[in-house]
Amino acid sequence: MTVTIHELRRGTPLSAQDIDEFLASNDFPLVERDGVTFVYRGGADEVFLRMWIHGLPAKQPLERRGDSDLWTLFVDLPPNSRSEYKFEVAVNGESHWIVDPLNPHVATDPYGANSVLRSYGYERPSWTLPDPEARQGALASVDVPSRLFDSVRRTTVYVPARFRRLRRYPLLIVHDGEDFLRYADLQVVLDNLIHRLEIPPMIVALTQAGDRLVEYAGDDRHAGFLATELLPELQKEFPLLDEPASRGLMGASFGAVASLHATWRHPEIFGRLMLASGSFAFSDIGRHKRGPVFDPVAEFVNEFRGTPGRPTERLFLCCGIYESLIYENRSLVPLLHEHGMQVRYEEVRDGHNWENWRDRLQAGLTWLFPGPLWMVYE
Amino acid sequence: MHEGPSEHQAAGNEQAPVHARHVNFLCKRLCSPIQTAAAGGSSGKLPLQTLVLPLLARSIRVGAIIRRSRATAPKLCERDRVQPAQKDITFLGPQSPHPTVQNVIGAGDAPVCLISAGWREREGELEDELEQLGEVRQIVDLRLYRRIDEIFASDPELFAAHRQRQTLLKEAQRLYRLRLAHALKAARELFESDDGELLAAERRAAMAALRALDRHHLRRIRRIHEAFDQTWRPAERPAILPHAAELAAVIERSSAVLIAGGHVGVLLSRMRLLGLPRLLAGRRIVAWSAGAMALGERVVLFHDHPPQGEGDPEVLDTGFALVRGVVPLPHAGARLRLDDARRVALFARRFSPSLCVPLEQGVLLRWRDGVLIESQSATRLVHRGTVQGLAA
Repeated sequence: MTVTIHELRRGTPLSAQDIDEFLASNDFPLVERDGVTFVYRGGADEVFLRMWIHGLPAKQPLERRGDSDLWTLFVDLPPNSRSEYKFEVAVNGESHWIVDPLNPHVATDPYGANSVLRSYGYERPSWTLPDPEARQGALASVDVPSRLFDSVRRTTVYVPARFRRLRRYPLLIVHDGEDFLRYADLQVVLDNLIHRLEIPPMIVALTQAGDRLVEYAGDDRHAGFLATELLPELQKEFPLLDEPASRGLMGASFGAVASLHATWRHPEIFGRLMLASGSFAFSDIGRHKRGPVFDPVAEFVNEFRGTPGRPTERLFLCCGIYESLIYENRSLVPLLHEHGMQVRYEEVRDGHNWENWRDRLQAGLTWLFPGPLWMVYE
Repeated sequence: MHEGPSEHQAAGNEQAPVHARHVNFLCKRLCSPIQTAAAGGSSGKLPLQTLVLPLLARSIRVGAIIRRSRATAPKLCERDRVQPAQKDITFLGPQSPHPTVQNVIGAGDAPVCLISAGWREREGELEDELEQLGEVRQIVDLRLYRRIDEIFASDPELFAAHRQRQTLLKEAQRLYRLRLAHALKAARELFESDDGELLAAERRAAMAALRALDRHHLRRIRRIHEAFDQTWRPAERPAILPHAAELAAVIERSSAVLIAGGHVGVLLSRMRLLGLPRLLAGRRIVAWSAGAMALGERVVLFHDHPPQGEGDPEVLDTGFALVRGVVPLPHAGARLRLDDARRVALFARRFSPSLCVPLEQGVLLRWRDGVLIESQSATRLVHRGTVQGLAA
């Protein structure tokens, strides 16, 4: 009979056959309502779980089951959580970080791949998956000469299906846009949300910075590039609606900082902001503790917190509660409210990663750019 | 003061005996009572007599049903009234990605004309839905969307008045939504409560309040349209007259008028301004999605699970009432929670005695001379919260 998770937890001795059957008859990690059991099989001196959940130890040891080569670790995790992790496997004094060989779900980012943990109740939203009935938009590219950066910036542009020059479109400029395409399925999401009439057909400019940790960290050159170089170029190339409510900026992490900063430096141009897991480091007193790369960010955010004004009309903020940035994001919400901006804020049980930002796109985009869902019946 | 029956009467249809309800279904709902509107008064009994009276003449209160039907039906704006009976009207489900309109129209020498104003900037582009039909028939788009743009450009006074009307309609809709949200919340809570001694009466009262609100809204909308028509007389304006004449000639030469889906508000508005309801009288019409919605008595917007908001079904406007007793629901399977019995029940009861008919792909409903003569894959929402075959 196949060994159960409960027997595993009790430490029942396991034969190799027990383990084979156990692995063959389960999906991993093992998800239950109250938590998750991580399982690794292989010869090792030590195995650790490396999971990025703020508040939990970054490194937790898996326990070897008796004399076998099976290692397990139970972690309390609330329902509807999603997180990413790796195993650190130590063999003969050498450690390697690997994705979970038993887990088929992998998320990629510019640094590589992680295993994906989906706790009880989490389901990948259907609108993030390709829909054969959804018409596909196209990608074009625009070369934008930049005096501010003394270079030509090539920008990829998403053009919606059934694009017509006679029509005028809202514009969304996305920071780290090509990463959003690659790691957060942005094109699929746009196709689906437009197909479902949840957002209007829109032009989406996908920018990519030269050095994002500099340009996105409250850099006036970048703000100027968006407002005075990129936007006019896009207005020349595409039929765009000419009102702040139809122009938006989006970004995650440092990209969120860049979005807020550009809007603050050039107010009332971009009436819609989507800020995901913004790296809004600040210090009420003394210095922030996030390292020198955050210095210009903290300088900007401190200044913004002092005199926010009302640079935009409507913002969607979101942050994972497993992120260390949750405090900074929460702190921003009342400030924005107080200064007359329409704010919608969403917290989820997720971390600082692309799939979290992908899963927030529907709530954010439909709040910022509501589609003709209610009126169109094709 | 209510223009329809008392609230108790409006909600009381559920209490009717089974045979009466059956007749109600057969006569008042499936028979398009366009003849009732056309002939007025008691001659509206004609389809009833033809279809049902031989069967159930003595067992039903036909007069009461007809009176109730007329009393609850929204009134039309003067310009929207269509006097002659409609010969042949077909409602279809959505035409993308698997069109069926070519099967209904078939091949032939005479052209068919198309109203695709709901597609807005894509007006007249025969992709997907009409590709196959275009291979066997000449399709002439009536260009209502672009005509109105031209008219507005040459008649700025009318354009300004139209904008003002749209602003009024928008505000009326906002105020209606405000009240509707509370009325629907109350009704939903009552329908979700366990049965109790007093609950049935409260449910009826909540339903009556909802219906009263819908009627109130429609009255307001109708008055806005009437005021516009009386003040600006679009049918007599030099900017519109040549277009109307041209449209009449094209429609006259066509063997059928197709009305495609799209933006239902745009479709209604452009058709109304160009006097299309009058021009369509007596023509063979095939309409789908928003096109079908525009031909009903009232246009009901719906989506149970929008990404933002509560998803409260709302009445938008009066339709052209070429088909009565039916609330067309395009894409109902995707837009409504048809497995949620309470929501379905509430929907069906709120718009009763009209039939709430999902228009899914492959559905066909056809009326000839006001009588439903054909239906394929057609279903309806029923009071107990399920979806049943139309003839069930």
